[in-house]
Amino acid sequence: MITRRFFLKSGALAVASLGAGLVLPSFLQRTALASPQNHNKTFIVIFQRGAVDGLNTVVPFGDAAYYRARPTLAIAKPNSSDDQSAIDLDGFFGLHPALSPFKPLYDAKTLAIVHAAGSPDSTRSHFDAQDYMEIGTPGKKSTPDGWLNRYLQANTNSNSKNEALRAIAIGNKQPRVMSGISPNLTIANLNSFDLRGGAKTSSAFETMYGKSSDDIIAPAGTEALEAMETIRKIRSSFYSPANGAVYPRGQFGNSLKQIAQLIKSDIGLEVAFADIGGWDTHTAQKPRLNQLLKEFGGGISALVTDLGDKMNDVVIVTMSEFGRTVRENGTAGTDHGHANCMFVIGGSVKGGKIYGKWPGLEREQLYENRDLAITTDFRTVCSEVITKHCKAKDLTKIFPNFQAKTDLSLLA
Amino acid sequence: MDKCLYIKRLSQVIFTIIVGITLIANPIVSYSLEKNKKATAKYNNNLSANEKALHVLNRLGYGPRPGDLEKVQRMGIEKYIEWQLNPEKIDDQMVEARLKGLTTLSMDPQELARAYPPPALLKAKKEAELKNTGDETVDKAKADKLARKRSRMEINEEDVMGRPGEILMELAQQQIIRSVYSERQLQEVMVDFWTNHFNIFWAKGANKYLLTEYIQETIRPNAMVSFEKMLAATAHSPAMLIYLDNWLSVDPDAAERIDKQRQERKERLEEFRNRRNRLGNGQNNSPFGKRRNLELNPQTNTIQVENGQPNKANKKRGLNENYARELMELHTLGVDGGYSQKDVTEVARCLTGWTIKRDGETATFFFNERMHDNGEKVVLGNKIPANGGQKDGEKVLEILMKHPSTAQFIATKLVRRFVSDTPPQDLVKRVASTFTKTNGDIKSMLRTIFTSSEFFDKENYQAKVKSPLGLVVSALRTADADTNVGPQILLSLNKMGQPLFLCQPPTGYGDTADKWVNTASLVERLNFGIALSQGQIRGTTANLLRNNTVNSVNELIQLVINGQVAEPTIRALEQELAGQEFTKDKSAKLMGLLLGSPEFQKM
Repeated sequence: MITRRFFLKSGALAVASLGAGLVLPSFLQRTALASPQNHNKTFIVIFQRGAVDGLNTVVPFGDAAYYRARPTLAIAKPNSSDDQSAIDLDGFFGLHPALSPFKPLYDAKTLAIVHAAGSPDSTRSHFDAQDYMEIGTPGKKSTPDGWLNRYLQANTNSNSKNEALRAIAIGNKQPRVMSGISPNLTIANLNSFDLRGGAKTSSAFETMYGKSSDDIIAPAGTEALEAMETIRKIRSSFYSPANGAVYPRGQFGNSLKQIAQLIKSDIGLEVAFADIGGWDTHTAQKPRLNQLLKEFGGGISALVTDLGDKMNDVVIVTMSEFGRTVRENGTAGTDHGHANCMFVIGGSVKGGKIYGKWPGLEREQLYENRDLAITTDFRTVCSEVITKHCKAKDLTKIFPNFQAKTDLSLLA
Repeated sequence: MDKCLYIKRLSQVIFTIIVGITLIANPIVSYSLEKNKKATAKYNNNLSANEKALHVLNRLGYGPRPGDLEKVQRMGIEKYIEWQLNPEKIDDQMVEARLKGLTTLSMDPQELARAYPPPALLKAKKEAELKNTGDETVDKAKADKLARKRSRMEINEEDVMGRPGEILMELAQQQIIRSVYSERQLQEVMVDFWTNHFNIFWAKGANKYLLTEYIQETIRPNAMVSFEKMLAATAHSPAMLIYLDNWLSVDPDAAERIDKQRQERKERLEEFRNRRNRLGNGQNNSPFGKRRNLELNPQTNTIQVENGQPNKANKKRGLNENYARELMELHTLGVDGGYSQKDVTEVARCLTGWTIKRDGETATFFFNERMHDNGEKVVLGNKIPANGGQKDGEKVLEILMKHPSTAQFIATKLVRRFVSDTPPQDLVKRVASTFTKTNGDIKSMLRTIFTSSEFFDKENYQAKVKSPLGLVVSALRTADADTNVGPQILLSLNKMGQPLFLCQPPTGYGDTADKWVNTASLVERLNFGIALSQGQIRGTTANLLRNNTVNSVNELIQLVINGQVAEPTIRALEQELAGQEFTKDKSAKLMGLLLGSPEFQKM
């Protein structure tokens, strides 16, 4: 029998693990909501690895040069009788048709776009560029930690139940952006993140580490065990997304679904990270980009739907290491470029608008005569979210040697 | 004189002498006693015979296998250390037998490229075959060429784990197998040390095929010989020049000259083609009305599509300072070694022309004098006269070798690895002095470390945290495991944060506790120990408990840890045992706990 005491003890965790499908008697709902909760903000970073083609993602259909440069690959101007044409946003820009789930978000002013954004370093190496974007110091390779970790270091949270639960990346390997001395977790799958042997083994290790006087390993060990205990509580055999959200099948959808689960469990998650690869479309771009954007758009919109009201405390920022060439190449694709588009989504985002200065696609306006030029540094976008949403204090530690040249005013 | 008085006097004198001697001797005796006491006090303050043996096995290698502790004590510590310092004299046939299946290790870059073509190339070839328009042979050849060029320079994330990923896997397997089974333990530790010091990221471009050669011929043979030789070998390595972009570095004036010539050549070819077109040969499907040229832009590493007009790149091709900087910052002087930005530029100038000659999918070192800046340079106060050609770079290596900061930096790193996360300065000084005296002889420096009192100081015993590699290997050794080091083990290492040969930044993997102690990594360490002891790792069998019966918690601790553990660990084991019998099953569970104990994470 579900008692009030049960809910007082486990609070929101209990609600989450039961799944939203269950209808709670109102007194229990109130109880659950009344238990001490951290209305902390969550910042979700989504990385498109491989350099997504921003020009076909948010299409500058109002720019004639776009069609000259891409005779076969360009997305057609918005045309209601052509479902392969761009979805009109503001008369100049449109969305790739596969991103139709973003249109209602744009119209509801939850989704904003920053175009011609990116990392100023000229490298066109995937690895180097991703590295620079994750350590937040374009051009300087020796930075030892990622900018999200520096955010955690510079902004300690005394309310946090477990430091490692402040920041979670979904994946097999800790992304560089999270690397650093501040504890954080990388979880491939909530359902399998555990010690072999489960709670019993955990208990043995808890004795070992909890009472150990070792000051190097023991504290981290204890934290790890506590984090696992929390995750164990969250884990349920079946998580039911709310509000009819349907996540696309595949790893990306799964990652976002787990982030939703973690946010709803109120464990104090401040920073979440997920990535999606496959964007490196040198050849056969049309079908590949179509497929990937479907997954990308479907996943993020499902996440937004699933989180519902919680989106007021969440901001999502998407990024990619660089964009792709303006001109199509000889194998129905595009090559490595420079500027790209970023999506910023959240309850407090001033959406329904495309931010940033559009540099144009004429030859003289291009970067090195081939790529979209950058007019907004990606750090400007991230800085705004970090200061206005996460309420971070010291930006200089997070993005050293960087001064935002513009104030985009992306957030309310 | 009176006989009585004489005797009295004599006895007085003798008495005085005796007192005198005593008075003088006392301080001397007590001083030497004191000194002995200090020496023995230091000695006594130090480790027991058992602890010393364990310490040596943990630091000069990857921890003991069953029986190793006794072996070291039988041999004697000093003898064991000397033995390990001369790996060429140690028979290691057993390990070679275990590596037989790893065929890529003996293939040269060309063979590897042929055997494991990048997936992008295969894909592009297929696509080229599918979209055949017009003149079949011409289009196919062009698509082939383009695909080859592109795949050579641009790496798709997916490519990394495609078939060429097998090469990476075998490199990692070799390192682990050797570390677990080789008798030349110290050599394996040094190979790991230098692999990180002269770090190269496997997945970048042609390095997928070049890294095997780099490890087998540049790192391994030099690991315990001469730093000077190793430095030179890495500087001439095509893998290094690609990784740190030096192959692109060119004197800006030379670049302009080369670009101009290239442009002229292109225009002539254009003319020829246009003439051919007018005569109606070949199709022209180019959307820009002209046959497009596909150029590899070496500066940006990508295929550029030209539309027949001169490439008015806003950026001037020129110097790439990446290698020059890391050569000083990470390989020799250290970040505080006393070089300026000007030095970085000057070194970069010296190293222009140190590039590669492409060879299908791979490359070899090639000095291109057309790219070289032949002007006069000044590096760290040393004037390098003009027209030195390749000798400029060689001179730089010489200057760096002789610079006192290099001795200091290398000494610091070695002491940090072998003694303490906070390297004792006095020892560092002595090791640096050895470096200078022996011109960077690695064995000599190691000997200085292992015969030092700091090395055996109790403060430094069990004070370092094992790297994930160290943890995995020491667990396999202490568990007396028979392993083929399959994908599960490599995945585990990845999850612990140390995917071998995939360290992106040139700093390589670190050597201090703060680099390795993090929540996610720890969870994986715990899980690894459990999986190993429960026989849950495919291709790996832990034999320790098969060959030994254990009847008490203390016995098990001795068997697995070879040393002492703290109260909480003992209690955890007893808790787990819960008074039950020591069945094989139970022992295995307890072993799993021990491998995850805080004690076993340290060395």
